[in-house]
Amino acid sequence: MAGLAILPVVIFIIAYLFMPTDIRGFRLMLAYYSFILGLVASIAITFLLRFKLTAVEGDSEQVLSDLTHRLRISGFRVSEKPGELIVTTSSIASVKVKVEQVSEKTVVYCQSYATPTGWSVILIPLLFIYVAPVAFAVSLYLLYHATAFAYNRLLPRLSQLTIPSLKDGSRGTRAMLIDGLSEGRRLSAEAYEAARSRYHDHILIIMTLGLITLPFVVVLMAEYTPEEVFGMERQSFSLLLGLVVALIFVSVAWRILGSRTSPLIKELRSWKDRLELALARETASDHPPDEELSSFELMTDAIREVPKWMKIRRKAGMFRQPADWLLIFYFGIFAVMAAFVGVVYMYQGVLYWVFAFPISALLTVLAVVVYSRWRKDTQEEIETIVGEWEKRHDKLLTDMEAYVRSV
Amino acid sequence: MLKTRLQVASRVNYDVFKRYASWMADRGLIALHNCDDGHERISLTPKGEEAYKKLVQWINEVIHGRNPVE
Repeated sequence: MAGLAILPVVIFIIAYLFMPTDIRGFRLMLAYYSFILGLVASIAITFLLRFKLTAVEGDSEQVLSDLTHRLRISGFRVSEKPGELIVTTSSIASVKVKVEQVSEKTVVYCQSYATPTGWSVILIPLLFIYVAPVAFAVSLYLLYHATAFAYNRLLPRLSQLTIPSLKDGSRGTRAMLIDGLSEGRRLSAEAYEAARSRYHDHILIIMTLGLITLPFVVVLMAEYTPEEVFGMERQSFSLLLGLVVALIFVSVAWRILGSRTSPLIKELRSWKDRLELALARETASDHPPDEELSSFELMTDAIREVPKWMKIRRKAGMFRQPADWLLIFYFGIFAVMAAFVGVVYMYQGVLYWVFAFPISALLTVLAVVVYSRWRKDTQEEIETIVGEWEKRHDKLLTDMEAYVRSV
Repeated sequence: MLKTRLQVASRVNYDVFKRYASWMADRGLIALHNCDDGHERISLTPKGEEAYKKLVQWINEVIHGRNPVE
């Protein structure tokens, strides 16, 4: 890890030493960009680096399934894919676990990975080039965190005996209930986090609009107010009015957003908490009180909510797809600025500033195109996911009905 | 489990509950026992446990994003 930490510096020094001296004026700047390139390469390496954790006796599928079950009992969020697991270990960190069958043994590998919030924390500083080292520091931390998790948490769970295939019906059913509740909790928790993230994204938009409103009002008021208003100078009055208007706009918009979003966030949180409680109860082999739903009923209820959770997860765009949204943000802000500057100069009689309007229009069109493409892609993804899920749900209902009739 | 307790937990009225219980008992999914203390108790039969396990397994498959296995 120490080698990786100094890799960008090594790339920087090599680039500086081997750069031709005839471009001396640009030498330092080019070397700096080599440093940034080194940072990006090092960040990629931290996530591509796959280290061997251990080799255990037994079939790889069984090893992975036992590990999943043990992690879920311990309360970790685990998502499964063929031959691999992704374990969420904190709000920004995840660990990817992969297995490979080598003759009689299963070799277990680990890789650093990030949650959607973690990816945002890495990608956003990378886009603002001068704070790119922050992204590298975060990715190094994630690698350290993944290594520590692998040795402290995964290794002890891999050295335990294989869970015997359970022939006793009730115990086998309990293990399945734990799996189902854990997966339901993961989906609901991810939807809850996505809804919260979307809420915070909207707050950021409101704040940005508030900041844009302020200079508009100040400039407009400075133009149309007399020299002195209520005993105040024109500039002070304009600034005060601008602040008041921006504050009113931000607080009203924030309140409307809160009243529209809070019920959904509360509902998702309640689902997450209920599933978490049921999971804790099931892992402790406890029963719910009479007035509460059983784990089975809770799972059947949760199944109806799954498409909604999937939609919410997909819709929470912005910082989950920061590249698209940064483009929209910059195109939008420069379009507004170009139009504003054009209006101000035209008003002062500098007519050639008319060229600012087509530039503003072009930037607006670009922002709309990027937004439309993002929206279309997201919508298509949602339709595909929900369509597949509905097919599975219909099959489940048909099978259940057929089974009940056949009993 | 006590029959009355199960009826409260299932949140259906007594007539409906009796109908469900009798339907399940006819199909060998549950067994009704008259106990010495005068209470009636209900237990799952092995067939009932198997049916419960199957239903849980199907729901589990759907939640995990897989088609239910028959």
